[in-house]
Amino acid sequence: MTVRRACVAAAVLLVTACQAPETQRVADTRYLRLADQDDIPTLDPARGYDTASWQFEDMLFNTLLDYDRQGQLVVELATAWEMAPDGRAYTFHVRDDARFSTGRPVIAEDIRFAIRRVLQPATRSPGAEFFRGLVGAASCDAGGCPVEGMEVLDRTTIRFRLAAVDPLFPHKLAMPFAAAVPAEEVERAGDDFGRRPVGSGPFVLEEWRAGQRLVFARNPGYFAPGVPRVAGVVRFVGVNDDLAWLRYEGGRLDVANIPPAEFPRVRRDPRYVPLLRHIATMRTNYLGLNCRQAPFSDRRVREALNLAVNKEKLLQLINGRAVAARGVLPPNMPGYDPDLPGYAYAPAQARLRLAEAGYPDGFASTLWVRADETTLRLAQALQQDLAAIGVRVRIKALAWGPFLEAVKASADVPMYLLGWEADFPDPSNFLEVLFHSKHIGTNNNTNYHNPTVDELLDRAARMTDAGERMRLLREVERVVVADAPWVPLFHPESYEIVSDRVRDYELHPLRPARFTEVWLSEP
Amino acid sequence: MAVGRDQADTATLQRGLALIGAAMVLSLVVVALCAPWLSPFDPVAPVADSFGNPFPPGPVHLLGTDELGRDVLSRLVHGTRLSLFVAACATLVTVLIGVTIGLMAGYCGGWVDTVLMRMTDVVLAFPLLLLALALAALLEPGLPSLLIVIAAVGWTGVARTVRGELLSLCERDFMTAAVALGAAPARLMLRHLLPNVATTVLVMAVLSTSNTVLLDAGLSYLGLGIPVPTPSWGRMLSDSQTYYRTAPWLMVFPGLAIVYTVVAFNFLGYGLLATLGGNRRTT
Repeated sequence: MTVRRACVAAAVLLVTACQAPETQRVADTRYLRLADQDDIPTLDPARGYDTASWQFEDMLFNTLLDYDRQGQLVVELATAWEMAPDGRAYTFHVRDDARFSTGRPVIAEDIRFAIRRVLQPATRSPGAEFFRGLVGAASCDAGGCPVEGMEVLDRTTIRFRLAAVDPLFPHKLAMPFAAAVPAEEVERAGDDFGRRPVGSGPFVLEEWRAGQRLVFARNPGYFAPGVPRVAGVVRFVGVNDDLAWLRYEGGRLDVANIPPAEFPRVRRDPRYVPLLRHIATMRTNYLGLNCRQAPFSDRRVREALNLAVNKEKLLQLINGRAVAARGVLPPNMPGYDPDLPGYAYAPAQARLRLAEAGYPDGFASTLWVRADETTLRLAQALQQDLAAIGVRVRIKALAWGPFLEAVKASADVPMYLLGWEADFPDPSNFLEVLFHSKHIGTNNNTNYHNPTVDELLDRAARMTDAGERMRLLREVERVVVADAPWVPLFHPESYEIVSDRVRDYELHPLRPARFTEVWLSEP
Repeated sequence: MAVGRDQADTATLQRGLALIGAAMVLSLVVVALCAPWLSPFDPVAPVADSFGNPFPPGPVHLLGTDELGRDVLSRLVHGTRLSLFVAACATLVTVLIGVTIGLMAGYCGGWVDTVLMRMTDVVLAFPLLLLALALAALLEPGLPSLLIVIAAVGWTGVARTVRGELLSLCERDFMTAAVALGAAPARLMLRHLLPNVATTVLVMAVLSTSNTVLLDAGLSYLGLGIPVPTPSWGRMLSDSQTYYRTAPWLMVFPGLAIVYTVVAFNFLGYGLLATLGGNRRTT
């Protein structure tokens, strides 16, 4: 019996005892109301690396750079930045009017502190690799982390020096990992910073009742004038898509996903059409196969699975709200290879491949998934396809947080269903982060290790010629697809629906939707 | 003076009820035993191209298909099997635990009685489904866990009733005689007391079966039952709720199956209660 299971049991029993009436604040209709099934894994920008964490870290923290609604880099905490002529140093000027919610001004040192913290092994940050290129960062260990490559020149100026040219470095500074955090608060909260975050962002965390709701209030001291335009945001937890839809229809939620069963009707209904928000994401959903674990350590088995999955069927299940995937990169990503052949749906061939690998009668395995209705349906569809070639799949469904933890420590996860969304518009953000062997244990969850791929990726990382770099990365994708650690499934299109009082709610091409500009037309 | 139905009428009605209940239960047992022959399709594999778009009832798929292309009738028929199996096993365990605790408490009296009955009260004090949920969270979902959970929360009624019966039985002359003849406690319990509570236990077992069916459906509905894709009525219900507007047949048929089963066992139980001469209120 794991501790987590015991806690769940205790929590279930406690819920009845502690059913407090909803606070006034939560009933406040001036707040934007959202809902999701799972709690947020963390609000610590050094630790979170999933869409749920990032959506709310974005509200609480600022980074030097950010993306506008078109996905272009713009300044946020910075006022200006320069790149040295040799491409190996960047100087950033930090705005002097930004303050943490405690009142203390944000200074250049806070950025240095944050990135150093990400690099320190004790933080166990999944973002450490992104900043390894800073001079001195490679030697960060338990003993110390000097990082000479980050110099605070004065209160508002910081210079980054890189060991090698890295044209992507500004993009890395736009990831929440590099968000300014106040050292004194981090030290005070310790490991608890992810539950009691303090930042300089447009909102502050007002309340977090685990498993029930998070409440964010407008930060009155936010530096940008006039925003946020909404009094706050409530995010209810424990509400699956079906329930959220009912609440949305009942006027008790402002933003909702549309369950597959309702989607065809909603898209035709003139009442709903103007409320729909739609964007093509830079995202790939895939079936991950643990290359270190038999039978998936055999490439022929992985190929067999690729041949066995009927992607058209999956698309039908989500009402065609996606494009079938042949490779790793989504179509709107630079470097996307339209000529990549991928694998056709060929169950007969898949059986042959399994027989070649020594499994003429198939085998049994376990598929780990997030426990939400749509994912469970997709998982069952995969289960059917794999049963047709003799692979008997047991589905193990977990909540988002525990699921991510399990997949990361993937020793005992043979197959899992997950998606990856681009952090910045560059193919290395898929290919390197997910398939380089140095990312095993953080994001290379299939434990894929091919020295050729590592070598090509390392060469591409040092490449300044953009065309040649893309050529190398395309080659990486071809090798990876041939090695088949993934069964690429589809590139989803994101649809959300807002209530008719919500204004200026836009989906973002590179980040979960943001709430800074959103306002409500009536109380 | 207005007179209601007389006693004889009521007895006939109750006997009729028992017969109807028995026939309904029998029909369920037949369906469960003959599931592989009765179900027109494989309950797990896709048999129609209805992915994401369930087909309504029609000549080929009599009760329609679900969003994963599976035949609803076949799933329902196989679900009967699972439902009855769970109900039978869980009831058996429930009765065993309940009778044992009830016998010990009623016969031994004193502190044993106090401890066992307070324990029963503690279990009873929790809302049934909530306690079952807490237990289910502790265990890996699956058939054994489901049985354990249902048995662990279901035994209290039997235990209390058996103990109550025993309190009066122990005062009776045959018990005094048996004790005077030097019968050992085990013999007293198994040979003298148990046969005297057997009728009550039988009736309670039948009645608690209907509760078990409901609890099983409830737990499966909440995702704590048998893992997918094994067809279970509760799981079918929860899977269908997103389609309640576009494909109501997915929800209606498993719902009806649960109602039918619960009614069947209730008819049989109350009918038996009347027929076998019991006139106590048991639940």
